[in-house]
Amino acid sequence: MNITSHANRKKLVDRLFTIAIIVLFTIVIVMTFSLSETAGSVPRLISIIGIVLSVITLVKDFKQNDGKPKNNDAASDENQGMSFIKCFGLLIAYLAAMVVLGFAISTCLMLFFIPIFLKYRNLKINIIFSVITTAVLYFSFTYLFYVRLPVGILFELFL
Amino acid sequence: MENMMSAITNIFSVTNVLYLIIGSVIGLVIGVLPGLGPVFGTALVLPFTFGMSADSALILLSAVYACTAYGDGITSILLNVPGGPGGVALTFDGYPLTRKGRAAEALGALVGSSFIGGLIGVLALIFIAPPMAEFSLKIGPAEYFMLAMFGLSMVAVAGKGDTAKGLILGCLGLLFSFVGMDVITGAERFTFGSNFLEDGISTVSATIGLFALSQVFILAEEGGTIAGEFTLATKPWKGISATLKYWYVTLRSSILGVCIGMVPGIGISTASMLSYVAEKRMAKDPETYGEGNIRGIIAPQAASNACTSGELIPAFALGIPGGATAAIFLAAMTLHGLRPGLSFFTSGGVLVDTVFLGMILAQFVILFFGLTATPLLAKITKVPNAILVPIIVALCFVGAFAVNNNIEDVVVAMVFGVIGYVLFKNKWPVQCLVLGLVLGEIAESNFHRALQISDGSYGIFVQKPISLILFIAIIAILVWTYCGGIIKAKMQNAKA
Repeated sequence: MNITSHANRKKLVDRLFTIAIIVLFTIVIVMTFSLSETAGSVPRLISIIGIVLSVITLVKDFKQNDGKPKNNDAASDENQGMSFIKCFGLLIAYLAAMVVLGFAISTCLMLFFIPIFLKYRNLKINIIFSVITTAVLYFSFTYLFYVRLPVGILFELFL
Repeated sequence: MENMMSAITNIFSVTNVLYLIIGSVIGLVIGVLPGLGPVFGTALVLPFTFGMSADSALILLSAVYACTAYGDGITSILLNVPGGPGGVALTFDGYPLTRKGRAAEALGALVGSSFIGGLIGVLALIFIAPPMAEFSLKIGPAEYFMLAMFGLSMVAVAGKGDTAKGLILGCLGLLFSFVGMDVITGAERFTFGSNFLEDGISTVSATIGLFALSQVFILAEEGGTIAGEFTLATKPWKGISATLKYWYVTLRSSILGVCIGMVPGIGISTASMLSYVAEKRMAKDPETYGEGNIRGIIAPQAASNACTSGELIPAFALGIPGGATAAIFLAAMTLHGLRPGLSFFTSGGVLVDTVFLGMILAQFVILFFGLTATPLLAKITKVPNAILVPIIVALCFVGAFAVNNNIEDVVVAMVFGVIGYVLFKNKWPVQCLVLGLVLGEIAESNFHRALQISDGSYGIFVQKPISLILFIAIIAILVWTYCGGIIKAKMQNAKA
């Protein structure tokens, strides 16, 4: 993959995002017709304005010369994309673990595994860091900020 | 007077002092971390204020806000890496000073100008907001609608060169604000049958996602640590005395910061940059700017910290946020049952005085921590991102969960985190989305109320002087932002 294709991919993401916004605005317009005039008029108007602006942006974007990108690294861009997907996957796993296992265990696991995933592989430090940080977070949220942390479905059964 | 005495007793209660210190430390830590600014800090802390009293909540947020704005400057000076949006102008003269071995002097100037700028900002808030709130009684739904539209039109300016994208995100933010029950008819809108969405999209969860969670992805991608080694050779007192020596620079930059803060949608990045440029233009030795002139630190930092309070003036007085952080303050006020406007100042009593005192005390905390803990704080930049990322993730998740003790709010934060990441990566002005989200309800409800008053006539929006002035201002802003560049280019071509 060369530099130009890297720039093109960035542009493509930008364009796809703009198109997604246009689709969203269009869906909103369609949905407003099932609402009363009072409830639907403003969202419809905003969506129309949004579509007009998005189309202008898209047209401007297509008209613009692609140009020569500076200091871009295609390989690093690909790595970044993968890193985002992996990171997002880890967040979903953390969310699922929090629902099932509760805050304390899931956070301890997350604090242990994310540094490893980010290539910080010092097992001793990882274990100490995850246990101490979880304890500090748990006690400060519970006793200082009075937040009711998730207990987890598994433990709710025993409560 | 009785209120003030109660407020003094209140502010010095163990709980409030503790929250003030915790808020300051959190603010300084977040401020020091590059990329994470006041919006991130306040968004992250907001959900944890739910269990607190209203005054403690606002004190904590004020401390976080003020200290983040100060902390932003530390890495700008030491590492040439802006800690946040307000820190860019500080790199121009801050880093050259560090390279000359005068880092501590530069940090002293940063502390001094933050302290004085912050104090001037809070005093402006205390003296300007109540009369402005009184003025709010004279304005009806049509004017309120126009004010909200004015705030949204400033989105175009906040778009910083990408007006259309700013406005698109403003529209998108408005749409997100429409999800849930319609305030006028009570009808469900865009909920897709979800009970959770009936209450609308939580501004807090959305903000956590957009500004905090999105940074998780970015930090994870970057890897490594934020900074390397640095030394502090000189003493900070020299910098503090420079702030007093150039008192006129501090004063005029602070006033500029307050004025910019009061205009919705602009914020501290513009305040610091404008004050730097203005100071350079007024200086007798403009050539020394960029080479390590101490006034190049005093001006932008005084403006930044004054701007933080300036942003709160329209939020407290009219319920119209000056920026994304002020929008978070508004959310905090609403969550604690406080209504912005005249009633906040008239019936708030001790609470209002306590909050203002807390804001003043936060400036003294900056002074204290600035003089004692800055070198230690700067070392945070050497903590590996691999360690920072999971801590931020845990804070974001708990923060979003604490909104309603609901896991769906975490999902909302994650969705907005992805949106925020895409926007940041493609350089879309994210703050415009938040402004739309916050101003949506104000704009729509007042639009319908105005039409009810006028029996459906749109003329009401331009018949009264205030709304007419605002209407003209909106048109002027939009035309200028769209066509300003073209006109300038044509004029330059004509001259050539």
